Amino acid sequence: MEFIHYFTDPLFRGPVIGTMLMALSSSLVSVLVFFQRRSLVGEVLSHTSYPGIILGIALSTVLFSENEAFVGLWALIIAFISSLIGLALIDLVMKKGKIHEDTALCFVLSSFFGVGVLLASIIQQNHPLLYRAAQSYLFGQAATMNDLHIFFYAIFALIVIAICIVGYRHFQTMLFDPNFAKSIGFQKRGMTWLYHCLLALSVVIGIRSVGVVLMSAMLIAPAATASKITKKLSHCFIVAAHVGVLGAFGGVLLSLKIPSWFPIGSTTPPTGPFIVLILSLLCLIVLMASFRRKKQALKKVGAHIL
Amino acid sequence: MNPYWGKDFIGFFITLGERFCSFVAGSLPLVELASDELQLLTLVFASISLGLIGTFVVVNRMSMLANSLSHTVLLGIVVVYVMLLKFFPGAGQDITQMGIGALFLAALFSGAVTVTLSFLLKRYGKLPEDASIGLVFTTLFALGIILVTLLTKNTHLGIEVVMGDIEAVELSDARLVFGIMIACISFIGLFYHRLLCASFDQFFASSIGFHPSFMLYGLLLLCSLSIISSFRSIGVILVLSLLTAPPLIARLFTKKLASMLKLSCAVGIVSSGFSVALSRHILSVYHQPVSIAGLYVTLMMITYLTLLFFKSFSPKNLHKKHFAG
Repeated sequence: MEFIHYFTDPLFRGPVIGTMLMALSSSLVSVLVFFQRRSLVGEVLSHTSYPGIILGIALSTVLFSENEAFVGLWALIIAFISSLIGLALIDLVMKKGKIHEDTALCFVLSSFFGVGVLLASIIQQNHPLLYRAAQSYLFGQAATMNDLHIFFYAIFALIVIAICIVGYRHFQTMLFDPNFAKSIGFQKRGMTWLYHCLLALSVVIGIRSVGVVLMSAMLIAPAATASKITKKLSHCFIVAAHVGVLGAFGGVLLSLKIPSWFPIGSTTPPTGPFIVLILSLLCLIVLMASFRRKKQALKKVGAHIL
Repeated sequence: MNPYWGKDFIGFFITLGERFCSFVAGSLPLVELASDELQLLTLVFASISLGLIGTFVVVNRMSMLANSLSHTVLLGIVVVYVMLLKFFPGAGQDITQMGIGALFLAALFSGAVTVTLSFLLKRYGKLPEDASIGLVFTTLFALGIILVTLLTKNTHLGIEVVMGDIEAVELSDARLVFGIMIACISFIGLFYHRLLCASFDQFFASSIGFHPSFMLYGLLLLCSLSIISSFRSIGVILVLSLLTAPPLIARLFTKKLASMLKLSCAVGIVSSGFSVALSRHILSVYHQPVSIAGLYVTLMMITYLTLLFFKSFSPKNLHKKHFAG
């Protein structure tokens, strides 16, 4: 009975449902990222969105209105653009500077975050309220989400799901047989940009509740868990979505409950670390189980031979 | 009273020169350093040690490992802090101000745990390497943030760790960073040839009888030490820029490891001087305080991209491209 309470109560409804929708879209994208072996790109994208968030918050408050929901929306849009710029910069630096991907990722990640820190220090003096709003994106603050956020996130999540369903065959061929995809005439460039947009979209949706710093975990853990449970791509999508949503629910619940167990002052603890911790625990359990299963199977085979 | 108050970009360097002369002459004691000088010293020391280590990190393609180290040092610090509280209850330690021994333990702990766990996940969990690295450091970082928040009852501390706060630098911080810089310089000076072999030709290194992986582990330990020593002033994510950007800029000019090491140190020193002076200039002229570390990183990015642009469109390169095909 108590669980339904979290979905109907107007105070809890926003954080819980919003975070679960976010987890749904990011875990679908995580499967694509995982099988492309580009898990660390998610880490870079989440950091490159940080200057965008601060710029968006500052611009929207100065130019448009002080309405909190619209400020958030503008922040997300500009963050989306800035993470796409980051992606383009990675490609440029790798190609022109002839450096390894690893170094390019690290360079772009820290440089964009540095720009974000610089912008944050500029608004810190003149707009302390804005600064605090921007800082809550660092580790995620789900507690202040409301029904409007649910609406936005539902639209974003629907877009991601639709792209995944419509482009399923394309993604499948692109992931597992790029040469075949080329031979039947898929535009590799277009597919890559669609995939990059999807990645940036899921990162941008997630930074409100998980935060800039820990968003990359949302793009790794669900897919890693799913890949240990099933070997089929379509099943992987479904399992990853379930795992992600479950982890998000557990994390938000924990972060809402924690203040009543450990009194930590007036402020609420950030949500992101708890979600990441729950997801990693799920992943660890599945990894252990798969390891044991393999061992038992090995034993059986061994006994048979003996 | 800060002697740099109201100075612009040129005036900063003039005052710095005057004060340096009086320091050499002996009329200025060490404890009377202005906050700007402390920030400058800390940045210079940190950028020398990070530039030296960073060159090897870039050459060995370990930047993302350095990234995961920079996240997990937080857990190391928290664990050592809890142990200190448990075993020396009377010490009254502040979590942001621990001695060099405690920080060494923290660096050792976090480095060992990160590398071992990533290796185990890759080896026994059969996950791809990037996924195992990503999974380990995000989990450990989340654990660190939660522990810091619950232990210190301060939700702001996590943000401070990530962003850095160079305005709060004291003489003890500068001393700590100086010590780490000496350690880095002596390690690289002593083992330069071994590091060179281990980075470029592992088979040759093992054939002449030493373990190249030992050298790389030493490098990683020093890397996590220098990250941990400067996390308070620069922040754990901006440290990565100090680690990668100077070697990248140096690599545009040279292909030799020795000159790359020297050049990346020089780039670090020059840009730390520039960023401190520029932030003072912005404060005096536009009355706008800016984050020095953020300015430093932004300057470095702009420099690299500009140099890259000019290099790829330089007549020499165009000539090469034209005649290559």
